Amino acid sequence: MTATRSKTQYLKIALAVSLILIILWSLLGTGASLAWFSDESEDIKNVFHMAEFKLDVSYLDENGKYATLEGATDLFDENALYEPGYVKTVFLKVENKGNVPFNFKTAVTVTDYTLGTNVFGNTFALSDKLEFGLVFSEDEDKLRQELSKREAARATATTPLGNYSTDKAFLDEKSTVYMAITVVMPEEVGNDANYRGKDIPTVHLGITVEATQTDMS
Amino acid sequence: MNSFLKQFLYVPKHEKIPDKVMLGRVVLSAALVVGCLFVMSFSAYAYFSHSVNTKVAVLEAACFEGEVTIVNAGTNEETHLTTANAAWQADLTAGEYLVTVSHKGTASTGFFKIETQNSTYYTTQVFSAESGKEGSITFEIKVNADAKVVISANFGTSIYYTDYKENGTKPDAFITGEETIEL
Repeated sequence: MTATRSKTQYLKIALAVSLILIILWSLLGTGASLAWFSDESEDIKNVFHMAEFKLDVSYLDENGKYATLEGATDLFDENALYEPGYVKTVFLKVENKGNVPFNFKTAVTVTDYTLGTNVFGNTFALSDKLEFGLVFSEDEDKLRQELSKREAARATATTPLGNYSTDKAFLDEKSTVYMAITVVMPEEVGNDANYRGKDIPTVHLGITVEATQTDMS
Repeated sequence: MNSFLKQFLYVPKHEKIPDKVMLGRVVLSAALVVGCLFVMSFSAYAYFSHSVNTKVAVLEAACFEGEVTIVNAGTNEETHLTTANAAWQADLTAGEYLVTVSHKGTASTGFFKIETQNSTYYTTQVFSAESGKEGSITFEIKVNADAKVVISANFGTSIYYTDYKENGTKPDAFITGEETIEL
């Protein structure tokens, strides 16, 4: 009796597992079929294209040319020193060079920092004294013209410098959008950011642009 | 290990497949399918997303230290100054003194605040040598009775400077050089 019951149990388990596997394979098969039949035809030929997903981000360097952002270290001028009233704007170009639209986000991240001691003997973080802003535009000339004046660039930087991420923005295939990132030390900053001693206050900043495929539906 | 594998995976020749072996093979197949799905989900995600990163950019602060000298105009002797918190304090006896405040530090500009018993004065901006603009200014202090003067170096822009530069407005408390402060 025990052997029969055990055998029945095994059969039930095997049946259940087989059923689950059949469902899984069906799902796989459906997905593969969808991929196979998503194609475009040209004239009388059936041409099958693989989706090309390509994000390209570059920044305007000091020579006035766009250089790739990947691995860039001189985005914010490594010789610049931040003092009250200092404004730095960098221009980026985000291109969708593929043939599928995508959504993209830009993230600004403070990856590290060095605290300083001000003239009053108090410790401070440079990031607490800086503000930044992000502006997008599809018209490069208009964006650069608008932000060429120091006061106009300063007006766009109203967010305290810290970890920040934009909302998703849509970029169609073969399209370009331009971005300006401005970092300022407000003029109102006083001697509470005037450091003394060997430790120079610094902020380590990273910029990431991430694109993800849009929903096909 | 061998006996375990034999128990769940081995089918003896010309014998009926044991239930344990059937179960073992089904479980193994299921595990492989799940594993493949797991791996496939990563490669699908990697293909359809992309990110571009900068290497870390380092933002660095500037500082404005400043330098102050006070010279007795009569004796031509430099007055001793005590320092604290980027400020210089001088105890002056009656006489005339020439005060020179100069740029020092990595900031491109800064200014000085002069505090006496009754008033506060602000100098115009002094600039770094690289800027080609005024790096120091000199003014006079005329002391009638013993007085204490505190001069501090300040980051940023003097409060009267912008108005002075744009409109030429020059209040009494604004020192641009050659003025005399009477105590």
